[in-house]
Amino acid sequence: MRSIYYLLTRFYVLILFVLLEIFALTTIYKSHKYQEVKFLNTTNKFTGTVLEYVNSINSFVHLGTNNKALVEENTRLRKLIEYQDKYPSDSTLPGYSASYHFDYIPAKIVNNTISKSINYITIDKGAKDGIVKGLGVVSSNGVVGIVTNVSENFSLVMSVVSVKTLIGVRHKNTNAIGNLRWNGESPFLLQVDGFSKTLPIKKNDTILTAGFSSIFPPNIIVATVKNLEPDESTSFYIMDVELSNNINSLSYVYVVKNDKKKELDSLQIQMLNE
Amino acid sequence: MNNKFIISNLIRFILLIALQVLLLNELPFGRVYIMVYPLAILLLPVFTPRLLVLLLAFFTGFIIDWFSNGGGLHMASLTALGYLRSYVLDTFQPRSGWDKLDVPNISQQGITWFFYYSLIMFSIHHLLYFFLEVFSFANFFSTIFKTLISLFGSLLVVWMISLYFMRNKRI
Repeated sequence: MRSIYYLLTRFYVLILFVLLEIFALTTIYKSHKYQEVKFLNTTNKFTGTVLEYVNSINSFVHLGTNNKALVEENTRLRKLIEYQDKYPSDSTLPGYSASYHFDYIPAKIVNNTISKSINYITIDKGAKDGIVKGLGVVSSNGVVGIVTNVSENFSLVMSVVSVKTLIGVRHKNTNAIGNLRWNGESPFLLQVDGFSKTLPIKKNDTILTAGFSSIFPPNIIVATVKNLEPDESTSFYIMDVELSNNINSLSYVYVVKNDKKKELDSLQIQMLNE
Repeated sequence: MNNKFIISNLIRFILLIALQVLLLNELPFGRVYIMVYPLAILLLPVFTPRLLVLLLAFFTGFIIDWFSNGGGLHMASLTALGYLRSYVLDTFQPRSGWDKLDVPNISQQGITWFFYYSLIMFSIHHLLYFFLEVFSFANFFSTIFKTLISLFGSLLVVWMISLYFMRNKRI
């Protein structure tokens, strides 16, 4: 008994250090394994509100670029409306086609980082606005990420600039399918793999979402090809792409809600089980 | 004297955490992640109880994590730094040993001493942080590179802050 007491008085700092470190490492391990920050995140009321206030300055700085993006989006939508009025029976248009069942919830970015290997974006819409885990987030001209945590008033979005990103994409001209990933190096350059070397892909070509998953709607612009070279050892291209939206200066985003997601997911699970 | 010590240290903690969370976390520098908050642990008086240093480091890391979705990264690396601080201070002690009221800051210990002290301490913290972030030794050199450029940025800010406050004290 006395020796235990002696050990405790002699090494209490070391013992406490080991305990605290085990606690911290467990938290890190969990956030790596489940791809979400379970606790200690910015979706709670206190940190969310503080960061919301700070970010009002940030959004003021980027007001010009954001206005421009919104005007461009408006123009595109106006053209679409005009087209729709002209050809009301075109079956590819929203409202007529069976493939459109996406709902959009507007949200404002509260906090945003690009300097880590898994980057998170906090947005000011939460469970009470109908947001659930796993929804896709897009901006007016590109994809932003996937919702990983939801609280009452805020949600956490894992940005596409994260090493765990895996989004199905399509080359616009050839319709070839590939995967969007990030190697963790420059946050302005992402990688696409799975495009065969035989395809006529050039620099500045557009990459769109494939739309096979129920998370992102099809045909949203994702990126443009920046560098590309054929891989010597495989039959694919090594490709760097630049995101079409500047993740860093975004202020407003849309959360994409797919009302047929449940049906689609359960169908796919059913298929996997058989 | 004691009260003044406590209050000035407390204010330093709050200011450094605020600087980190409200300004430095928001900087769009890409791969460079400037972390200045370990300075609060560095500048604690030499004879602060080791247990207190450890607990302060833990809670500072906790708050930073909370504000930046760190998932325990800041907590783990800063707690380790808080534990190792006394060993670093032992190796860096002046020839006559530490005095009761000594503070390991730039005004008391001089520019060269503080340069090496902050270099060692921030290197420990940054290496731990970035290797825990990738959670593996794969891409070893890319992680080292990331650590080095962030370390350079952090130390630049730390020295600027330190030199600014040193000049103020002399006037």
